[in-house]
Amino acid sequence: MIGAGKKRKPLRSVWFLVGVLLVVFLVFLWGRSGTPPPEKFEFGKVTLPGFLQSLETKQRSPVQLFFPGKNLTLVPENREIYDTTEKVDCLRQIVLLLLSGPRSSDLLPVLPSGYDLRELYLRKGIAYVDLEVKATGRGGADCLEEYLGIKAITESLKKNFPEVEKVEILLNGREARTLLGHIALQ
Amino acid sequence: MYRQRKELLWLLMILLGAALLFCGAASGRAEVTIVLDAGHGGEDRGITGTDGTTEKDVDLDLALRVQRLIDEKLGYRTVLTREKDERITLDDRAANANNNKGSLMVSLHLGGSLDPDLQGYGIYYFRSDGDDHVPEEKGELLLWRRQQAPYVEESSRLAEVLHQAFQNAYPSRRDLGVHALPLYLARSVQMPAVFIESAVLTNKDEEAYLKSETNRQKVAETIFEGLRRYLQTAAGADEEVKQ
Repeated sequence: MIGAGKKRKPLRSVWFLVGVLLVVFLVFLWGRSGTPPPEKFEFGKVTLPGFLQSLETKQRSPVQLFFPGKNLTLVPENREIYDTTEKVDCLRQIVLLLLSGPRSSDLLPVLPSGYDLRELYLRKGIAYVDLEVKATGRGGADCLEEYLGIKAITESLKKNFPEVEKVEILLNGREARTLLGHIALQ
Repeated sequence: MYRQRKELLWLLMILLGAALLFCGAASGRAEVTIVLDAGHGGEDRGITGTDGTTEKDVDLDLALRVQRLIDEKLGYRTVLTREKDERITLDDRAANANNNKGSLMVSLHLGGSLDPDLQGYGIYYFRSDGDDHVPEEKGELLLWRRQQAPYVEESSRLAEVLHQAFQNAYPSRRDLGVHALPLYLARSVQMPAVFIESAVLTNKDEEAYLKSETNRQKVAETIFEGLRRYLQTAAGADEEVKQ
């Protein structure tokens, strides 16, 4: 009897495995046949032109952005953003414009290339600017330019929206010690 | 016989006293510890020049050169926060400097700019961007991020002396000045601390300048000269801060 039991076991296991595979296959087919889920709005993957295109019918308002100047101070540049019902969308536009760089050739970019806006939240007067680092190596900014870059983001947000009392910069969704290795973010 | 022994005993005591005094003076000299922090390291290359020079390599080379000059000419104890090409976190660097009871810290970096024409040297020290609490009582417990608060004034003086040394050594190079910034590493160290950016690596001419060993030695000698001048006048003030 014991010997016969031993012979049956592999057969049972095979049937069990076939059953599991069948269920997995059916679930897969069911998933494919259903309507595809709506495309998730992932801000970090939206480019500035794409985002602005979605707002094109709106009215525009002037804003003053700050960029580091070649004399290593912050210099204002007048730009426009689309009016939106959500304040946070205005703040997102400002950060996207900052990351896309200044119009004037006398001004410097806020950050080296390789940084994108992942998301921006506004909670109790604090604007959380969540940046995504795409580049593996660091760019060419030193202590002072790193500081001016951070200041440019915070001052541009605070200057245009007084309800922003404080700006916290996150990296890839987390609190970070520094942006480029020198200046304390907290 | 007894009198002779007594005289011998006195002689021995005098010799012992003299030896202790000598050791005290010698150890007073050795109490000065200079922490040299070579920026970046390992996968963190820092700034990369257009010709491929990496900041981490130049920073380490300069730190080793300054260390050699201090060893040879001053004999003070030096501590390097990194001695090879490895990544060390900013908190570990600060902890190393504090655990070694550094008298001062010099962090060696190079400038980098999004403006390829920018060149020059700059000196930086810590200034908080809002949290400016300075302890009124000595021995008051301070948060990790506020450790630099009692030393800000002295750091500013160290920065000025080093700046003067650079101005003297490089009268024709662009002077990017002395700036107070919320530097992450400096805020956690319990000693006067400065960052030196001796040249801008993203500028082609300055990258070429740094490729020469002779020029790097001149930069190291300039930093050494600034430290020597600062230490000549700071011994008393530094002790006051330490107490």
